[in-house]
Order: sequence, then C-alpha cells, then structure tokens
Amino acid sequence: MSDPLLQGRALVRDFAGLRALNAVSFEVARGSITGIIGPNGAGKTTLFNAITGDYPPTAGRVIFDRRDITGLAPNRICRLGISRTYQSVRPFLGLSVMNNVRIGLLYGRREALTRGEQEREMFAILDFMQLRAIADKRAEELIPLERKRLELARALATGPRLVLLDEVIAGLTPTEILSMMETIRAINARGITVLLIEHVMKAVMGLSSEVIVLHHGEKIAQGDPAQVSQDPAVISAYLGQADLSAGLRR
Amino acid sequence: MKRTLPFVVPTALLLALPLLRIDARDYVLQVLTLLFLNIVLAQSYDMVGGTMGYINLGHIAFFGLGAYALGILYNAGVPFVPAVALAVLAVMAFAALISYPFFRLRGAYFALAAFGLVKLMEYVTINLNWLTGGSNGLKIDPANRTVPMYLVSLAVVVIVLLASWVISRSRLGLAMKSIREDEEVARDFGVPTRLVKTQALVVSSIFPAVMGAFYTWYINFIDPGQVFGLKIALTPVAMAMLGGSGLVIGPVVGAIVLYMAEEVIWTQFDELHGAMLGGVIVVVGLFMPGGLMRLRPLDALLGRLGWREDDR
Amino acid sequence: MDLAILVQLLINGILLGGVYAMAAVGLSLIFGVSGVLNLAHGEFLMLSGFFVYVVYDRLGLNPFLAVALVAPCFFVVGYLFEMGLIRPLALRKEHVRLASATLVTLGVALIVEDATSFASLGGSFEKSVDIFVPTLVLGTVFLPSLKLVIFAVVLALIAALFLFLKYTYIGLAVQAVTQNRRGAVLNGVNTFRINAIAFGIGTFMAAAAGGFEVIHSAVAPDIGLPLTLKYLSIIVMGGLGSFAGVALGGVIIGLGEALVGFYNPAWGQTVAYLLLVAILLVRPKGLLGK
Ligand SMILES: Nc1ncnc2c1ncn2[C@@H]1O[C@H](COP(=O)(O)OP(=O)(O)O)[C@@H](O)[C@H]1O
Ligand SMILES: [Mg+2]
Repeated sequence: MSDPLLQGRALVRDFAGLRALNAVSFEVARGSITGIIGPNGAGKTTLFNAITGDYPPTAGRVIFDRRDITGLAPNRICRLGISRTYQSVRPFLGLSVMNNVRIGLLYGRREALTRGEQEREMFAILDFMQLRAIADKRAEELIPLERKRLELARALATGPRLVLLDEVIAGLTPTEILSMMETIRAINARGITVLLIEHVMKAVMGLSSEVIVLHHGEKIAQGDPAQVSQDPAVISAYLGQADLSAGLRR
Repeated sequence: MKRTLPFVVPTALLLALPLLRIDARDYVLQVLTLLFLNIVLAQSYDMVGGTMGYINLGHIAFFGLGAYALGILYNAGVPFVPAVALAVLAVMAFAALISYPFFRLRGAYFALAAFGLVKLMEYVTINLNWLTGGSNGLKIDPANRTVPMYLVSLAVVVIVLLASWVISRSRLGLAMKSIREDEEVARDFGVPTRLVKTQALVVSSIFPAVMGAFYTWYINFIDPGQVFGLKIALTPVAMAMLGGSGLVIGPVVGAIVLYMAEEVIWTQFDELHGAMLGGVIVVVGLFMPGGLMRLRPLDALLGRLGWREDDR
Repeated sequence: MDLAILVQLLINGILLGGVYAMAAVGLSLIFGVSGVLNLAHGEFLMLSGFFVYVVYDRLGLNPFLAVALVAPCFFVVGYLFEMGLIRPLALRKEHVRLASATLVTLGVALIVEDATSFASLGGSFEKSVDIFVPTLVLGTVFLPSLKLVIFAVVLALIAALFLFLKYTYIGLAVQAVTQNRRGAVLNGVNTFRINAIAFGIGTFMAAAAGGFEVIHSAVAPDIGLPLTLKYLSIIVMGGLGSFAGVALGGVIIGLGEALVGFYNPAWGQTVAYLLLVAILLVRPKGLLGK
C-alpha cells in the first residue's frame, strides 16, 4: 500500500501477564472499508483500544495519516480524526440524543464550529441516522437499535477521517443488518475510511475490500475477502466454530 | 418573561425584607442568611457532585478555608474587600492544586479522599496554633453585620443560581455531564477530562469560599470544628439529593426543604433532633434518588414553567 | 531518643494498631463486597461498646464475656442493615448509588449517635470499664497486659476471618464478589446474600473492636463518625481487596499516632488523615492495592 491512512507497526498489548496483541502490523488504505475478523478473544477490540489510546500499546507504533499517534491521549486522537463505537453500546444514557451528538460536535473536532454550522451539522447527522424524531429523548429511553444508531451519529459528529466500528451489526435482525450495511456504505461514500470488526461473515465479506484476520492476538492473514477465506491458516483458526467457517466458505 | 417571574419576584421580595420595621426583623434575617448559606453550599456542591458525578464530600473544606483565610488576612491588617478577594483566590488556587491528585481517584475513592481532607483540614487548623488560634478559634473585631450579610448572601444565592444555569447549558457543562455519564467515552470523544474536572472544581470552590470569607466577617468568631465539621460537610450532599441532584433547580429546593425541616424539628421537639434529621436523610437516600424535582407533578410543573432541562 | 522509650512507643503503637486493624478489616470487607462507604461503621462500634458497658455495669459480667455476648448480636444487626437499607440501592447508577449510600449510612450514623447519647443521659460522659490487671515489666519496658490480651484476641479474630475467607464456600464467594461482581453473578453466587453476610461479619468485627475500646480506654457517643473516617483511611491506605494491606495500614496508623503523639499529642491524631491523603496522591489504589 503506497500511502495508508492508518498503519500499525508491531503492536503489542499486555494485560497483567496476558498478551492480547502480539506484534500486529497492518495497514488500512485511504477511503477503504477494511474488516477485522477473528474468533472471540482474538484481540480485535484490544486493537481498537490501542488505536484510540484507551489502552495504549505496550510496544509498537500507531501511524495515522503519516503521523505517529502512539501514546497520545484519546481526546487528542479523536481530534486528529479517529472516532469509534463500542461493542456493547455506551451512549451517554442520561443525556438527550442531541447532547450525545453535541459532545462530538463541540469537543471532537479540531476546529470550532459556529453556532449555525453546529445546528446544520447536528440536523444533518440526526437525519442521516434517522434520529431526528427522537432527538429530545434521553439515550436511556431508546431501544437497542436506536442506541446503535446514536453511537454512529456521535462518531460522525466528530468529523472523523476514520471510524472504528466494533460489531455494529451483531444482534440485529436480517432486515436491520441490510439497512446497517447500507448506512456503512453511505458513511464510506462520504470519504470516511471505515475499519470494522464483525462476526457476521456475510456482512464483512460483502462490505470490505480488505480483511484482516486476528487469532490469539496475532495477525494470521490480510488480503481481499475471497483470498482470505481460502487461507488454510484462517480456516484452521475457525475450525470448530461451525457457523463462522460455514460463513467463510459461502 | 413568564420564565423569569418565579425567580425575580421572590428575589425582589427578599431584597426588600430588611426595610421591614418589626421586632423580629433581625431574627428573620439571620434565619434566612443561614438558609442562603445552605443554598449556596448545596448548589455549588452539585456542580461537581451532581453535574459531573464526582461525589465531593470535601466541598465544605473550601468554605472553611475561605473563612480562615479571611480571618487571618483581616487580622493581619488587610482591608476587608481585598482580604475577601485574596481569600477567594487562595481557595481557588487550593482547588486547582488538589484537583490534580484527587481527580486521579474515581468513585468511592474520590469521595473518601475528599472526606478525609475535611478532617485533615480540621486537625491542621487546630495544630497551626500560631496562625489560626488553634482549637480556641479565631476572632475578628466584633460588630453586628446582620443586614449587610443578609444582602451579600442573597446576592451570592442569585449569582450561584445563575451560574448553575449558565454552566448547565454551556459547553463546559455538557462536558461535565458527559464525564458523569461515562468518563472514558467522554475522553474518546475529545473531552479533555482532566482540564474539565479541574475547571469544574475551581468554579465550584468560588462560592463556598466567598461565603466562608463573609461568614467570618458576619459571625466574628470561627473555630475548626465549626467550619470543618464532618456533619456539615455532608448536609449539602443531602440537600442536593433531596431536591434533585444534577438539576439546576434541585439543590436550591432541597436546601430550602431540608432547612425548613430542621427548623421544625428544632422548634417542635425537645430531644433527639439529630436522630430525626438522620431519619429524614435515610428516607431521602433510600426512597428519593431522583429528588423532589424529578417527581412527576413537580417535573410537570417545571415543564409548564419552561424550566425543564433536556438532560435529567 | 532513649531506646527504651522507642521500644515502649512501638509496643503501644502496635497494640493500638491491632484494634484499628480489626475494625478496619471489617469495614474493608464491607467496602470490598458492596462498594459502599459505610459511614455507620464506627457508630456500630460505639453502640456495641455502650452495650458492653451496660452488660458489665448492670449484670456485673466479666467485660470479656460481655463482648462475647454482645458482638455476635451485631452480626445480625449488620445483616439486617444491609437487607433493609443497602440492598434497595443496588440498581442505581454508580454515582447516584454512591451518594444514596452515603446518605443512608450517614443518616443511620446520626440516629445511632443521637439515640445513644439520649439513652446515656446527656452523652458527654464517657463509658469505660475498670478492670485491674497487673502490668508486666521487662527491664524498663512496660507491657500493659490487658492490652496484650486484647491484642491476642484481635489477632485470633483476624486469623479466623482469614481462614474463613480462604477455606469456606461463603468465604470464597465473598472474595469472588470482591474481585469481580459480574463474574461472581455469572457463576451462580447470590451476591445479595454475600453482601449481607459481609455486612454482618464486618459489623461484628466493629462491635468486637468497640467492646475492646471500652475495656482498655473509653467510648463516647460522638466518636463514631471520626472513627469511621479513620478506618476508611486505613483501608484506602491498605488498598481495596488486600486484607494484609489493611492490617498493615492499621498498624502503621497505630504506630504513627503513638510516635508522633509522643512528641506532639495534637499532631498524633492528624497522622491518619495526612497519611491517607499522602498515600492516595502517590498510589491512587493504596499501598498494596492492584
Ligand atoms: N481491559 C482488559 N483487561 C484485561 N484483559 C483484557 C482487557 N481487554 C481485553 N482483555 C483480554 O484480551 C483478550 C482479547 O480481548 P478482546 O480484544 O476484547 O477480544 P475480541 O477479539 O473478542 O474483541 C481477551 O483474552 C480479553 O480477556
Ligand atoms: Mg470484541
């Protein structure tokens, strides 16, 4: 890859004796949708946390847009243009939908917006994520699907160049999955690079132009979806996980 | 207009109260002054405790420090107004200084360290005899300052209420609420949590500091147990929660109700005042986590007045 | 300093620290399991001391027997306290729960203090028990044998708690909840019951400490809240979930008070809070905390 937007160089992350990431190197192309797959506990979420600075890597470097961001505080990394969602959603439960989004608008961006711009952005995002009708509700009043959309809205509010989506499709019904996939494509179409963790194989394969496979904290494959699903190392990593390997072969 | 009337009218009435020519006037003013003090403490406590979710059991330390700082400066010959300004600045500096280590702590640990700070201040004040007069307390030139103190307290109440309202709708206030809801997520979305927490603590320290400084001037005599007491440290928490912690209107309502309850207890019963107050506090903690102003009828009332907040 | 004086101070400090450690271990158990800052802990200690005094005074019982009679009742008190007043707060948001628990336990503290002071007619007089026990003299060092006996009992109780936690099912469940509440629930531990048991045991420890306080020094109605704060300081110092740390913290405070108090009685009482704040600043999770 000539000029990747995001690059991990030999990332290591230890948790009290457990090596959750072991020398993981990878690249994410500008404008791409890149998928991360791997069995439970493979270290996928930990990789996100290492990128965002929530749990900075024990060793290795994170390069974002040619800049070394390793060890920067999460709030600074956010302002540089990376935002995220969480595997188990974490909206600000006591705040209104609008204020959830407003946090991203007010604090997540590098340049301050005027009041007018703020309002315009706010409503554009609420419309895009179909939250306008419930904009005044508190997040704790939302149903799970709405909470997921709120998380996406909040992530978009920071004006990111890269969004990290941690299993946003998991737990949705088939129709909801289709609409969420559309949403992700639409986000990508706005020029935002997407790095997504998914368990639903069809979704990953359908969306991503590139897939990274993690297993036991190590990267065992990276490449286009068709190529990766043929990879013997990947197939053996998924052995015994019938649903996933079925998904791979499909 | 409709929105400001319920605020402006009582304020105007209270402002006119010293003009009354009745025998009990000074008594009434003194009772109200103490009420105002409680409102200011509860309201400013809740900036950090309710809006930001850090249960600051040491809020009273700012009051005591302001009280002592004023007493010491004033007795050293500094004129009153500069002495108040210096005392308040000293407290703000103190708040900024302790914010760094204290805000490395979370939850119960933070609450506890802050609570410990109150006791520490009490003992340090007792021990620094040469500066503070130790357990004998500190005196300043006695004078009857009932009316000016009443007016000052009323003014600070108005200011602290306006400040709470402005903060809750401000960028800073939103960041404080996001910290309350989930500090890690707030940081992930660009909130410089350290800085915000320090700013919040410093802002919240101004009001008890001002009241502390004027309190010494008003009461003419303070001692460590009085201004750094463990029980008075906890009343603002009870008041805020009774009214509705995290709501602009909550602490002031809670302060008024609890203060009145205390007055009733003291005037109606001969014994066991502390136990009855304790009972009230237990009931608040047990049955009213949202406080009075989140109860449905009162919430509806706020809605009609246009005072209801989005984040509640 | 004279070596004999130093040794004497160390002995006094350790003996003092033993009782602190026991009450603090009890509070640590409660805090660890429930996450509640129990502001009524010192109040139960005081109340137990009051009952021990009454039993001793009215029934003429040996004060140690009185402790053995009174303290176990406080297991029930702690258990019911949790069931009635702490459990209902369980589902609230973190900071609301913290504030609620602070108020509930504070309110109970006020009630207990005021009621005791009312029952003891005025409340300013101190309850203490006189029993004459000869003091051992080793060279120039005095060994207050009454305090030695108490210290031995305290050690035995702490050891018993330790064994209980290590070798019984309930003890292991208590530890599991302390370390990881969610995980414990998923493994089928009834955390409500464990909470109540922790409150029971913790309150029992406080009650025993209160009995000993009344035997070797004195108990007054207003000592509760300051004592609670001192114990809280000790457990924060020692670190959550580390009983060894808490015991160490108790002894450190005891030693600190004895040594500093020798030079300047006023600063002696300050040691606990000074250490609390100082240690938290350096090690936010306590001395031995993880
Ligand atoms: N904050 C943490 N503390 C301790 N261990 C962690 C933490 N986060 C993740 N781990 C461990 O790291 C490993 C990888 O976890 P994770 O990245 O969440 O996996 P997944 O690929 O399912 O997202 C797991 O064994 C997990 O227990
Ligand atoms: Mg994960």
